[in-house]
Amino acid sequence: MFERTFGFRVFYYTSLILVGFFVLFPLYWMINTALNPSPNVFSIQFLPLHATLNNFIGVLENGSIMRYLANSLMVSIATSFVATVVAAYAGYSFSKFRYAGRKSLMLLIMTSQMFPQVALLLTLYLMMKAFGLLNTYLALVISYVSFTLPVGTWTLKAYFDQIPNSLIESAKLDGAGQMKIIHRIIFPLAVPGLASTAIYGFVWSWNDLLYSLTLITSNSKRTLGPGLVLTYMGQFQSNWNSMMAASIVVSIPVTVMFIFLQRYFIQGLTAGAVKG
Amino acid sequence: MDLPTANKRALSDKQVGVLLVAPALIIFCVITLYPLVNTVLMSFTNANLLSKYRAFVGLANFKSILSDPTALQVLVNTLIFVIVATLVPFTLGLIWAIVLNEGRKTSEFLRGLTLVDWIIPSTAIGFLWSWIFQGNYGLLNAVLTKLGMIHSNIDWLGRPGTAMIAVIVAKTWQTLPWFMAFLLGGLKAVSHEQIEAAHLDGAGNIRTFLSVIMPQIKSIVSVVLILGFMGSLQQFDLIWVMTQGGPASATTTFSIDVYTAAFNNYDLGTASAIATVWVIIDLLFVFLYVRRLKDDFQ
Amino acid sequence: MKRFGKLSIVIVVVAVSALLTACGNQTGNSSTGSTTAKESLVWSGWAANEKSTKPSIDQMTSSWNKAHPDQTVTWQGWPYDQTEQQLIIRSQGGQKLDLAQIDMNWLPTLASTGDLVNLESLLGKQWLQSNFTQNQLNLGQVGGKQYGVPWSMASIGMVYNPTLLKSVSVSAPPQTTQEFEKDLELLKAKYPNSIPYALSTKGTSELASDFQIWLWTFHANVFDAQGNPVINSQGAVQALTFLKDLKDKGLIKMDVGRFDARQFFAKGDIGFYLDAFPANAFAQTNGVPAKDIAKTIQPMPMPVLNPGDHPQSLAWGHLLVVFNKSKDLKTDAAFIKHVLSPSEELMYFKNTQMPPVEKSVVSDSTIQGNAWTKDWLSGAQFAKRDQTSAYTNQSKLQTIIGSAVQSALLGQTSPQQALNNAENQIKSAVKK
Repeated sequence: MFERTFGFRVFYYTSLILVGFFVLFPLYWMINTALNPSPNVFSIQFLPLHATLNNFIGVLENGSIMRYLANSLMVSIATSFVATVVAAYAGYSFSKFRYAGRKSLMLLIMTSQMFPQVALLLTLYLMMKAFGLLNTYLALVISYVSFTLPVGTWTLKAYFDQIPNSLIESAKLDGAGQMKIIHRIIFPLAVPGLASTAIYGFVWSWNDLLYSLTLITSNSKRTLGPGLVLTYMGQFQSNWNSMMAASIVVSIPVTVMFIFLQRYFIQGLTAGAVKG
Repeated sequence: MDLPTANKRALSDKQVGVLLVAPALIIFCVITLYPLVNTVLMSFTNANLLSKYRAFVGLANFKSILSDPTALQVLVNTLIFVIVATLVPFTLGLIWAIVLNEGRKTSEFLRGLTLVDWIIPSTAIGFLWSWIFQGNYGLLNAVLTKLGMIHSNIDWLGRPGTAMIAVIVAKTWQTLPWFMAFLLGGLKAVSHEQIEAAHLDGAGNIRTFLSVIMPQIKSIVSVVLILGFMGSLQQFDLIWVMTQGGPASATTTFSIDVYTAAFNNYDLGTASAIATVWVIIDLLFVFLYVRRLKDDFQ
Repeated sequence: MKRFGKLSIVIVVVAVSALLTACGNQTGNSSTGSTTAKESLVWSGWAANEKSTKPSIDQMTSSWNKAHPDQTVTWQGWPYDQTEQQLIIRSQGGQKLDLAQIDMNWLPTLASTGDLVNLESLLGKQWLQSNFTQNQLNLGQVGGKQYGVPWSMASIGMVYNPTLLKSVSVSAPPQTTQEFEKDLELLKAKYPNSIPYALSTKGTSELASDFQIWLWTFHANVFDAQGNPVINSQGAVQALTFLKDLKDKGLIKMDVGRFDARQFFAKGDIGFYLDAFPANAFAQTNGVPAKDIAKTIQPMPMPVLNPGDHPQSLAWGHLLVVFNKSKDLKTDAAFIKHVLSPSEELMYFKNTQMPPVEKSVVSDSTIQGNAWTKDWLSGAQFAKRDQTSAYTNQSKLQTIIGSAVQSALLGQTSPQQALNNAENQIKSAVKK
């Protein structure tokens, strides 16, 4: 893309080293801290010379952290599945159908993500309480789905826009019903878009602290964000080695999943944006 | 088995379209629209978390937040955080995307590794950076002392200016990969012929970037910036984990302020009033956003 | 279609592994599984979430559970600074909550939710009065109703490191604020990286309670006798100026919380700090060997402004409360009596230094003969309640005071200005 002039080489290598260091060193530091035995917190160890897996074992044996991890996986997978389906239907509807109010509806749903989530939380908390949904996964999942919808719908709409109408017409001529067209023809063609929406929803719920801190009140249902905060706040706030080990352990399942899905994610993420 | 199909057939295209969008619409109304309206209404009451009773208090909550000397500080904090914690990761993400786009063998691997930063749970990222910035025995102090750049430890998270820098750095680290992924996709889609042509015309790298590449990734840039600004505006977890909005409210942004008012002071009325002010300010952004979207939704 | 297939395989694999972890946990988890023990009472608080007190709490519940297999008790706790909020969210949300350990300062807030049980009828007036003094009972009352029963009570006062002081040739703890400052300077000169006095500067509520003691020391108050906020009085400004001065000289540090202080103190990096009565037990959990405790940590009366002033300290205590949503109030009462039984109280004291309250236990020789207790009490005769604790929005008042002190310490506002702002905010907060 660029000519390899001297100036470009300077830019390239400086950026590679500086940004690369910024991006990667903290990861190294996390691993290094997790490998060092606990009492070393007061003297910085730059290398894991006395590496031990004790911190990891401690985390794996900590039933609560493993439970938070399992809860987070459940909530995130549910969110990502529901959000993808709902966003796909909405995106397809916006893309291939014409009806009154379609455009305003699109704008309305898109703008919904501009509104402060913490402001919505004030009422959602009271609402969930009134419906007896406090301390349920359902409360979390529907909240997360609503936050994933705008971006998901938009990404998928862009995807469906690229699918030629003729394809749908010919399927109709072959006698396929709407549901069949959507599930058998359209969705398979939009896999990267679906995957990127799914990942987006997953990461959203995976990261959330605000909602899960307030809507979930029992340890057995707690998800990772508040779980980690409540484990490592107060007295254990300086147990950095164990904290870093826990951070790594809880990141592994998603990292593994991500390695498989990365390609779809990048394709899906950009498809919508590039076109617009 | 013919009947259901026949029924489905009976639906007009319009009806199918509306049916398909219905779930999203219902979720939107219940989880976004109603809470938003109700929160605005609640800002005129003395609702609190401790009792079921509430009374209309007019503009009292607004008066009290406007007379609060920290209100202005929260606004300034929020602006600083939103602008800096979006533009810095954007710029670094763009640079990183350009570097990774140069097609070295390691690029793919580096790209994957970069995205790991993004999928680590926010709470864990907050821990990591609190540990790096720890004021008494943290990494940064140790390194700077070893390099002879400082003589005594700096309380990074205990001073207003440095605490803000610390949370911005953490946010940058978290979102840089996300910007990179978007922008890399944009760069990959840039037409190579046009770049070749520009080079043949004798355009240097900078001119090619500004006159050929930028126009082609302009729309993606505006999208990621809008999404980025919104993400920073919503930011709660990193700041909460690292500083809880302190010291002396130096890192208290809108999100933190509303949360503290509601769930620390149990004062839903005041919290709603702060949130309402925020929504009003937000409408400006919504307006810009809608204008940007309208072009898309032809 | 091929791509679709690969994707669905990944999704299935992840879903299955999530399910497996979830199931694996259901069987492997014992401490937090409140879902498995439907019958059991939920006891909440922070005691079993802290290293020093956890073994004793476990012991109390297991001895109860052994004797009452049909009415077991499980612990559901949080870190101290999340407990009040979690209790409120939980009780407001209608979640299962039977009894809880609370900080006595939270009582007005929690009582205002209307979710607490009047314990006078539950435990019996007779039992209460025969076991506690009227003063102690008063600390568990709001509007004349006995919502809390005292569990552990003492005060927050100053502790110092005698070995550290000796190393700078100071043989006795400072008695006046002047001497105090002088000693801090000596420590700073000899140990430049130390924190001579670890004021709790990190969290606003801890800072507000430390500041309360300093206010009294400088003859100032948060509220006057009529309940008007007077936090910007001359004495208060003097107190804050004093602390700001210490900060500017590097004698106190920002971003230090109570837990940091305990840890650094145990390492010998701190000369003085304010903590609750079991400070010596905290030092031990942070790694000070039992035989070195006396050399490392000693209580002292709070320095006074003028010779002859009373040394100030802050009343501190943990109460037990019962929520009226609890299904089995009788068992709650029986369990409270179990926790407060002389044998459990003595065990708790021996293991954790948590000060017992019951008359029969207090007079026990183990407690009377304890040197730490004696020394501590000499500095705690004038302990008073935190002035913000009378208000239902105590946590808001503490946030206001703590932030004002922080902003003055950081030099963002002058002490006078910071306290003027605080006074204004307190005024509007208590008016509501």
